[in-house]
Amino acid sequence: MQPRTLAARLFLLTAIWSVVAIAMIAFLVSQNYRANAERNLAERLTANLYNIMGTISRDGAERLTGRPDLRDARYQLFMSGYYWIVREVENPENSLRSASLAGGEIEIPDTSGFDARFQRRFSAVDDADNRLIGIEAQAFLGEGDNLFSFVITADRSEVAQEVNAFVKRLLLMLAIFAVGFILASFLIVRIGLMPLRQATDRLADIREGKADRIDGSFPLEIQPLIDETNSLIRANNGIIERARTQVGNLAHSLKTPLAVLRNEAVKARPAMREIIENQVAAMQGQVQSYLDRARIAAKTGSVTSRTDIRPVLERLVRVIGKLNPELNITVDLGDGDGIFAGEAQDLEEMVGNLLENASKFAKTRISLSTNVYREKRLTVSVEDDGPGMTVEEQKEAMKRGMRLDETKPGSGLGLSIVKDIASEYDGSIRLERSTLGGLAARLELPAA
Amino acid sequence: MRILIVEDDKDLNRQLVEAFTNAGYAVDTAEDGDEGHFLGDTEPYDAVVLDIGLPGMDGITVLENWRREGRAMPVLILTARDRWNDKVSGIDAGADDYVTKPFHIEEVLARVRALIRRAAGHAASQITCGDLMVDTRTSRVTLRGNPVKLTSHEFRLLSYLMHHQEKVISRTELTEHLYDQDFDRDSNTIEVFIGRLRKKLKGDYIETVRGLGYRLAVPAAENAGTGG
Repeated sequence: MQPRTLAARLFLLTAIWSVVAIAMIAFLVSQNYRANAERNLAERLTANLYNIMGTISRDGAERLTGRPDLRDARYQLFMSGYYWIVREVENPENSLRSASLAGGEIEIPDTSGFDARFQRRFSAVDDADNRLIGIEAQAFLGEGDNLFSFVITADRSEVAQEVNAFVKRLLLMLAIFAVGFILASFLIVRIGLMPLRQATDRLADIREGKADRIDGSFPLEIQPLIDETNSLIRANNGIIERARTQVGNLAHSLKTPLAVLRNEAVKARPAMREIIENQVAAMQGQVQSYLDRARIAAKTGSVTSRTDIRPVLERLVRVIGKLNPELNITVDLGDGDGIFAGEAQDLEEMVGNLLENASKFAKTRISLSTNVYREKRLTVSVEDDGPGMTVEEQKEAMKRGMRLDETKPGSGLGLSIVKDIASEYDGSIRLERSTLGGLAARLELPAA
Repeated sequence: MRILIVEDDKDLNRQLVEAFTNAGYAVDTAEDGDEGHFLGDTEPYDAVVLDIGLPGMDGITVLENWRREGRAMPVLILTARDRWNDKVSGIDAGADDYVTKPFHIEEVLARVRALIRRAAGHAASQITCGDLMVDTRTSRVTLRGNPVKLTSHEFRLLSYLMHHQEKVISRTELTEHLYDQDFDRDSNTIEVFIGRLRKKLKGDYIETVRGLGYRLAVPAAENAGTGG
C-alpha cells in the first residue's frame, strides 16, 4: 500500500528502520554480551583449573592427593553441574574428583584438539541433564612422565540466565528508546515538512483568489519548486489573458458581419428574412454569452480589488448627460465616498446599464444616489420618471436577453448582465416603483 | 444634409451609404482612418458615422484629432465593444453618441437624425416654420397639414434650411452640405432647386439675401396673419 502523504511515507520508513535497527542492536549487543559472559566463565574455569593443578600432587604410591579450595560451594553440591576431575591419561582409575561429581563420570566428546597450552574446551551433558561447559588441560605432575588430564566444568545455564536477564533489561531500554525515537521522528517529519504545508496553504490562497503569487522565502530544497510554480502561474495568467483577448477579438470581429447580414436581410423575401434574422440573433446570442463567460472567467482567481465609486459614477453621469442633454440628472453620493469591493469596470458595467435604461425611459429626469452602510455594504439607486414597470414586467426584465419594449433601441435592457455581475460579488439588484413615478433600480454591493 | 461614413467593412459601408442616400443625405465615404480623418478635416459635414476599429489611424484617434483641430460636427461611433469602458472612452474622445454592433440600420439613421437636429437646436423630430412642417423621421413635408410632394434633392435643400431657420445660408454652404464631394460645384442647380421649392411652398418662406445667400423664415404675411 502506498502511503498517501509524504509525512506518512517518511514516518513509516523511519519507524520501520528504527524497529529493524533496534532489533539488530538488541541481537548484536546480546550476542556480544553472551560471548563476553562465556569468556568470563571460561576464564574463571581456567583460573580454577590452575588452582586444581597447583593443589593436586602425587603421593609415594603414585596416587593423586590434594584438596583444592575453589571457594565455590557448587563444587560441593551433588549434581550441580560444577565439577572437576583429575585423571591419569594412561590409567583413568587413578583419579580425583569434586564432591559434586561423587561417583559420576563426565563423557568428554573427542572432537577438538588441544591448543598450544594443551587446553581445550568442550560441551557435555551430565547425568542430571545439565548442559555443561568444560575445559580440559593435560599436564605432567611433578617429576614423573605420566600425563594427567585435568577437567573442570560449569553449568552453561548460568551464562544463559545471565544473558537472558541482560537481554530483558536491554529490550526494555531499547523499547523505551524506540518509542521515544518514533515520537521524535514524527515531530521531525512534521516540523521538517512544515514549509511544504505552508506552500500548500499559499497555493490554496491563490486558488481562492486571495493571492496571485506565492510570497515568502522557503528552504533551498523547495524554493525552486516555489519559483517554478510562480512562473507557471504567471505563464498561465498570460495564456488565459491571451485566450480571453482572442475570444474577445473573435467575438467582436463577428459583430460587423452580423450587422451586415442583419441589414441585408431586410431586402430578402419574408421567409428568408425571418430565417436570417433568427440565425443572426442566435449567433449574436452565442457571441455575447462567450464574451460574458470570458469576462466572468477573468474574474475568478483575480485578487480582490477596491474601487472608489465617486469617479466611476461621475464619469458615467457625464457620458449619460452628454448622450441625453435634454434629461436632468441629479446625483446624490451621500455624505461619504463609498468604496466598492470589486473591479471598476464591473461597477461601471452595472451602473452604466442602469443609467442607460433610465435614460431610455425617463421623461425629464434621472436620479442617481448612493448610500454606504456600516455592515460593509453600499447601495446605488437609479430612478427615472418614466412609465415604470409592473411586477410581472420587473420579473421578466431580469431574464437573460429579454426585451420588454421592442420599440426602444438597444439590445435588451442589460438587466440580466447587471444581475449576473452583482451576484458574482454576492450583491443583488432590486426593481421597484420610484417616488419619481418611474422605475427604481437598487443595486446592493459589498463595500470595502 | 451631408454626412461622412467611415467604415472599413465594404459591405457594411455600402449598406450604410445606401440607407443614408435613400434617406436623402449626401454621403461621402472612407474605408480607413487616414482617409476618414482627411475628409472630416477638410469637408463640412453635418454628421459623421465613424467606426472605431479601422485600419490605419483607429477611430478614437481620428475623433480626438478632429476635436483637437476644432472640428465640432456631431459624430456617431460604431463599436463592436459594448463594455462601458469602451463607450466612455469613445464619448470622452469626443463622440456624441454610439451604436454597438450588430445594429439595425434604422437605429443608426435615427441616431444621426437626432444628432443633426440636436446640433441645430431642435428637440423634436418634427421641425416647423410657421405652417410649414418637416418630419425628419419620415422625410415628409406638410404645409398647413397638407402633404407637399418633393423630390429628394428638394427635400434635402428644404431640410437643411429648416434646420438652420432664420440664418443666412450661402450658396457655397448649401452646395457643400447637400452634395457629396464628387458633385460638380460650379453648376447653378441650387438656384434651380430654390426656385422649384418656392413654387411648391406657395409662400415667401425662402428669402434671397442679395450677395450673401438664402434665409428660411416665417413669411411676413403669415406672421401678420397669426399676430393679428
